[in-house]
Amino acid sequence: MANTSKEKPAEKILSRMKGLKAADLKGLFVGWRRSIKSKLLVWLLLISLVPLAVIAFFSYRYSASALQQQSFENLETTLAFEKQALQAYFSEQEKTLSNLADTMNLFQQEAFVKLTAIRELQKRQVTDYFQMRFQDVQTFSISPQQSVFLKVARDRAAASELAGSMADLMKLWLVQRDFHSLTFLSTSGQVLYSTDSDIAVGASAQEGSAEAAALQKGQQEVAFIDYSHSSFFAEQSVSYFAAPLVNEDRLEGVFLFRLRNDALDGIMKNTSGLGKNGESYMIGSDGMFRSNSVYFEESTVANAAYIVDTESVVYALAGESGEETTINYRGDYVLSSYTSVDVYGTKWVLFVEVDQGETMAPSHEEEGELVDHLKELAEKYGFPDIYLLNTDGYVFYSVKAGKDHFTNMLNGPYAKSGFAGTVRGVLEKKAVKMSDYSFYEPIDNKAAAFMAAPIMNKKGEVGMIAAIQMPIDKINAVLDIRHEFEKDSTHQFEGKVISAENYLVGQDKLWRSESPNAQKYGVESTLLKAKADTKAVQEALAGKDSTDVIVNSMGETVLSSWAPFKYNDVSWALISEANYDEVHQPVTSLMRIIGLTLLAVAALVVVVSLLVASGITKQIGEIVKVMAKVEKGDYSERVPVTSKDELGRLAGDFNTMTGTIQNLIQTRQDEHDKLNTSIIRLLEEITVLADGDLTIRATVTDDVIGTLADSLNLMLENLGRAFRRIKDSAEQVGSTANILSESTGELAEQNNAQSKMINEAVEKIGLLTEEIRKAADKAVQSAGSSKESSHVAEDGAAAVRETSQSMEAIRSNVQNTARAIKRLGESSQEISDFARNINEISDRTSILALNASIQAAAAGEEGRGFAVVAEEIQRLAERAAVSTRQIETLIRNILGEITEAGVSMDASIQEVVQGTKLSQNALAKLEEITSRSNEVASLIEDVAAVSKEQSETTAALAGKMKEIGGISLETAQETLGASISMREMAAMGDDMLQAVTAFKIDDKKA
Amino acid sequence: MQAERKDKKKAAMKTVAVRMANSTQGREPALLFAARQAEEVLPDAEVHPLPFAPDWLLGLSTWRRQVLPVLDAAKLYGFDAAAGRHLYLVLRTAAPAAEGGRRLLRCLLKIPSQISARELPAQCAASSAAENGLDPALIKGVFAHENGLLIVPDLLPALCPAA
Repeated sequence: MANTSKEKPAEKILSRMKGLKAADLKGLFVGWRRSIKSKLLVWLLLISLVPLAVIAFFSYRYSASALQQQSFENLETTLAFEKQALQAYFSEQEKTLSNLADTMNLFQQEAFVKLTAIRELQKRQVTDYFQMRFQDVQTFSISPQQSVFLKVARDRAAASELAGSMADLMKLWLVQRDFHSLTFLSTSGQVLYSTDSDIAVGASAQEGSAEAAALQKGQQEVAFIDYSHSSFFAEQSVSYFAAPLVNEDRLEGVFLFRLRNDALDGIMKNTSGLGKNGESYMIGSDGMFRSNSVYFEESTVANAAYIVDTESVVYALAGESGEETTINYRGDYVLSSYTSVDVYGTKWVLFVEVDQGETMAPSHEEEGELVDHLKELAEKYGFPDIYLLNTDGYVFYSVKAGKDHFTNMLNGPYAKSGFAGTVRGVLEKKAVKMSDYSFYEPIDNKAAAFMAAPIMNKKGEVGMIAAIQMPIDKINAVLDIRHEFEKDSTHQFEGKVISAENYLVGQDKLWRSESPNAQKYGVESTLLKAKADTKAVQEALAGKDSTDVIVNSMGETVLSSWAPFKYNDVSWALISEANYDEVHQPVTSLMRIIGLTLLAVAALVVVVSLLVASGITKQIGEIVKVMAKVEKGDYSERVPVTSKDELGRLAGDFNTMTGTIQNLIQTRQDEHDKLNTSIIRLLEEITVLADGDLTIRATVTDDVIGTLADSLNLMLENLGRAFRRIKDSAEQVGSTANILSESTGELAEQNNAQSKMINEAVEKIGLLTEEIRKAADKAVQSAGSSKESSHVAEDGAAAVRETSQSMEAIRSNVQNTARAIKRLGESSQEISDFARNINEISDRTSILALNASIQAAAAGEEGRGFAVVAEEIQRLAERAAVSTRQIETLIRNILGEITEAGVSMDASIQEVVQGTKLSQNALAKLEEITSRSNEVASLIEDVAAVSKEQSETTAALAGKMKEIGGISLETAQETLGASISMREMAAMGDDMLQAVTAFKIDDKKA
Repeated sequence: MQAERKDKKKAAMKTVAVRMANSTQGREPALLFAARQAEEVLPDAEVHPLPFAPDWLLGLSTWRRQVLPVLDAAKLYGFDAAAGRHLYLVLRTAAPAAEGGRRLLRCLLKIPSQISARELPAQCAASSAAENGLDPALIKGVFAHENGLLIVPDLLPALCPAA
């Protein structure tokens, strides 16, 4: 009967779970096929976990792929953006530089304009000055003072009149007129008077001196004498205005007004508008100064220590005016404006110069500090430095004014630097050039890149070069821009931004940007220090762009997007990478979650399956327990019904079944007892039967024993009938036995007679056997002879075979001969063909000869010689034809004979074949004879054997007959014995009769 | 004697003799052409037949960029066709021109290959075409010599029937 449980399901589950032990769990999986619980557990696990695993696998795969794809797209977008940004950045830099160059150009032009203005002004001033001096001299020479000098010219003693107040007046006049001194020379060149106390009166002007030149030029008119060496002052050059003293058209003497060395200082040393370092100066045709330089304390006027031998002097002396950037006499780079100044027949050159650096980068004071606009520009645009260079490579301006300031980039200490290369490129191409990053010594070997632009002058040539040092931080900022975006992005995973490393790599596989994580690469700064020689770099440097998963220089697996970056002459690789693991982190997390879910599901499945299995197997266990008892015969037990499902119903049915069986057993037991009673009754009745009373009958009941009793009764009836018959038969046997006994006696006598006859037969058979043996011996002899004849036949066959083989050999030889003859025939045929060809050739030759003779005939007399040749050819052709015909005939004969020979060969072959056939036939016959002989021999042998057998058989027959005789005798004896036995049988029949009568039978039913 | 010498001088003329197949009264006929009349002997010629042409006119052929008629000598002069190979003889003859003067006509004559260039024999007697079963219209002359007949054919009637 099923057990009902009133526990709540939850409590049931809990109680079951508590009942589960670890050993039970372990036991579930070991030998799982033997337990429903285990099977259920395993299958449920499989069914639940396998689909989950498949889903997890595909989820991982597709999400990883999608994520990777998206990452690639992001990288490509970033890369494109950065490439564009870098292009824009460099373009902007180039634009800025170009603007700077234009600005410099403008400055330069403005400077030149200003210089030219100043130059013209100063030129005017100088011209005016000399004009004034000229006028002063001219005025003096015609003034009343000259009467004094007349006296002096005539009488040197009159020179004393010029002393005292006259002298003071004179000196004052000279000072006012900016003259150094006045010297009055006689016409012979002697000094008659001089305001200069260093000049002795009476001293003579030496040949080639300034005084001599003044004397010469001043005789006619007021003249200007350029600086040249003086007669009166050693190692001094002087310049004069000379004027004649003429009285009544007679030259009395010459006035020499000496110019002050600092005469032009007032004009030349005025550097207003020329900046701090500008100056203007006058140069004579000898390259020496005609004015004092502001840079030297000592007088530079006509000082051989200060020579200006620039090209501009030559141009200016040739009458040109111009502006240029040049190196002045001091070796400074200046903007120079020059022109020639004509001083009364003497050409001087006026130079007005400003310092180039000062001009191109004018500075102003700001908050107590000198600031130039280039410095401001550098600060504004973040350029580490801005340079200005001359076309010869001289760095005349640098914002930082570092070690490279005032050096020459083309042939100086840094001539091999990248900056120098850029400068060279600008000079060569006259276009903006950019250098790649390289270590630059002037900035402590730090990495630097430069961009330079030409500043063109009015002639369209490169006048100057402007250059900037490219700031790396701007490039870094461009490359880091993605990070800036992502920092504020909402698309983050677990609060982390998947950072991409973006960097530039140069042709030397070194970085061209600075990584924010330089320590990762083992360097302080990655710029030109970190190496990246990866597939991405190689392909990008080769000009390809692509995206792929690669291993970066740190050995990390990364998603990488790369593209070439080219600007100007610089060719870099632009790389954008994202760490593979970081990118796939969401997927990894997903997999983790899926894994945990799988585990949870597995645990749940295990628990549920155990619970379900427990529920199932408990009922089954109860059934099994009761069945064990039922097996042992205890049908009293009933299965507790613990569930309401099919198993519970099974338990109930099982209980019903055992009850039924129990009832059945009880019924059978009762029937058994009833049967026992019937059997006992039957046994009692049969006991009477044992006494020989066949008339007894058993009680027939309605059970099985009743049937048995009925059968017994029937059997007793039959038995009685049988005994009755036996009785009758016994009587009959007795009588018959007597009759038989008599018959067998007669039979015995007949057997004796038979035995005698058989003995006679045996003797005759013995004789027959002897005859047969003889016949068998003869048959054996015949077999031997037959075998011999068979051997002879074999020998004959062998001989015939040999003959056949020889004939075969003959046949093959003949065939070979025939073949040879045939080949001969073919060769003859070939010869015939050749002969035919020769014939044809001879025909053609004949035709040719004919044509030749025809042509010779047409040629008339001139063709006679040719006709002879033609005839000869014709004859030769005929001979050839004749020979060929003979050959053909011969060949034909040979062919005929060959054919005959071939025919006879064939005939021979046929005969040989025939002979071979005959011999083969003979062979076959002989073989047949042999086989027949063998057959005969074997037959004879068989006959011999059979005869032998026959003989043996007859012998055996004789033996048998003897035996039969013996047997007949025995039979007779036996028959006699049988007769006696019959008699005894009769006696036995009587005994049987007596025995049967012991039983009581019903005689009425006989 | 002088006549003989004269004959001998005449007999020294170069000729081209073509032996034909028939034998007439035990004599082998040969067509005789003057050597200057024969221009070339060709071993073969490509003949393009003409429709509705008589059987002795085999067709046209080209020779040295000229288109010439091809005549069958055997059919033209009534001989049997010779067995074996044939040759083609380029012959030239002169015909009167319409405007006066003469014009040259050429033809190809298909002949047996028994052709030889030789001088005329010393002894030969004139014979008639009709006697030898030949058409006199096509024959200029027939001469018998000890071994055969020498027939001098006239090509003009065949080449230029109107003339």
